[in-house]
Amino acid sequence: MTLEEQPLQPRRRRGWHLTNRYITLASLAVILIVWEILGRQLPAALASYPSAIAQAFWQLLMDGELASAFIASIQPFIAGYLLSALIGIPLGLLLGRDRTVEAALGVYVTAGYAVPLVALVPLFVLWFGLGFLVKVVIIFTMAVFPIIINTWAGVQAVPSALVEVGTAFVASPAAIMRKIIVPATIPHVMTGLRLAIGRAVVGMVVAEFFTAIGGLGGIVIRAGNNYDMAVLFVPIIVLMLLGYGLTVLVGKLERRIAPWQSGITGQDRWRSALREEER
Amino acid sequence: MMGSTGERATGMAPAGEDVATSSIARPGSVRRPGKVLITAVSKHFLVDAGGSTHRVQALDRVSFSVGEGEIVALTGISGCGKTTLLRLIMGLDRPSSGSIAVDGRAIDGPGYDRGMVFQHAELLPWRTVLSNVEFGLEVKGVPAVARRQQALHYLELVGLTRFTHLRPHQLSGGMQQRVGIARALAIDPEVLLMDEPFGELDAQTRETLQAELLRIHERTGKTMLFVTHDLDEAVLLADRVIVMSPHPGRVREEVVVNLPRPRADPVALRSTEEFMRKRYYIWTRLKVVEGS
Repeated sequence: MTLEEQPLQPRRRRGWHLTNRYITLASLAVILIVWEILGRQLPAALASYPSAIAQAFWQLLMDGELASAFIASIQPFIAGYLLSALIGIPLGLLLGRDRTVEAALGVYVTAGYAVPLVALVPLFVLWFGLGFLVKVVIIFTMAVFPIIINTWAGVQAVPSALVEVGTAFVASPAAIMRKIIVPATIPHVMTGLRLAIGRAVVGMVVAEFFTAIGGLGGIVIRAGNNYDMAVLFVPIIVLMLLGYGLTVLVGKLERRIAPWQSGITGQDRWRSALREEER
Repeated sequence: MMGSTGERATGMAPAGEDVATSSIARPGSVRRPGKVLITAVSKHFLVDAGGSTHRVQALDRVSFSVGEGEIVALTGISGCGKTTLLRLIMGLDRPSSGSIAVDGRAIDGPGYDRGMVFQHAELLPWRTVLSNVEFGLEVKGVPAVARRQQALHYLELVGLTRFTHLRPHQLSGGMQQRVGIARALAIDPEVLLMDEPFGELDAQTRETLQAELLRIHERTGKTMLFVTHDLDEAVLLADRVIVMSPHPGRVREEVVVNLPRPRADPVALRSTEEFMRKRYYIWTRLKVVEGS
């Protein structure tokens, strides 16, 4: 028996989604048109416009430069990002769970998150040279802190009542970690992973600026030196698409492995229209 | 009356095993003594208030017992320590002094001899109904097949067979609490402990679940101890109602409810003289507590 029926919820929401998509597309179109018109008024050495960028994009794609730059960039990116997840998540769990570890390491993590890590790049270059390794280190350093911080905060946000359920059913600390803390923390971990993507992209480009001029960052530097603005925008657009695509991917992954979360936050609230017939 | 361990009657069958006998016999005498034995339990907390620590006495030498197969209600106005007491019995916290024994064994932390039903159900939101009920069995190390079988058995008992695949957020409050009850029963505990299990539900759902709990008691014969604010609920469900007084929490009185079992028709029971008399009596005792 239920007093609140909400059967119209799904139709309304889906329609709303569709409208939103059109608004996004229209906004993109307006921006591109305005840019094209304004960009053509300015000298080519100072600015560019969409059609010229598209042309440069096509050229870089055809001579294979874009592909090789992308591959050169993405390898340290993947290595650094995966490493930051691999180290950041367990460290965040530990910080949230263990008072001693929190007291010992928490201050560095908070400081590390706040400090402009780009300032450390020259030091990293001295330590790790100019090759693949230094890029991985820079990307890792940029990406690991949001992952640790969010996981840490996520553990602290686990309702103590849920931990108590584990205790009441005689779960060991390891079982409480595995069966309660980790699943309850997943949404926060995913937020950390999402934020880390943006920082890792920045780390990747900065690493390429400072080190051997290569990859997508290399194209930016070279185009800047040649005052070739159309080419300069090509890697920027690729990086934008990369960051955006990965963020969407992590979001999809989140809904896949934490489907209950979207239910709680109301994204599929219409499903709970299914109510009990109390006898 | 304070500190009494209740009447001792031996040799009778536990309630629920023999319906014919238990419906005639006085329910208070059906139980075996001392399934749960609470002896002079005190509990104080150190509360930090503006730099100085205060010592707050939550429970003061509380003693009573719960017989096998008996349903006992703990009631009292807020601050009487009834929830604290239930947590001590569950082993989630330790008494400052005194002892608690279940089946003659002094308890030392949580155990599978006690199953806990929480006030807000506290289901794990990422697990399905079935998997939530399996939780305790999983931690206990029961193999997957037996686990599933047992969980399904208890889901059937609470009438949720059709909803095993749903997640908690898709359930109403009443359904969530049924899952909570099934989860506690699934580990087959000696004693079921419930902390205001129906306090959050609307009146109609609460009545449904009260009837359901009585039916579960008939079928399983479990010993049950529950905390409640609701005097109707206390008298309707319990064989004995422990009335507590606050600051510090003490047992004020034990009231035996002489309503026959099985209590299959709660509506009819509510209009009996015994129900109304006991309900009124407990209410006056709580008033005295408030006044003093």
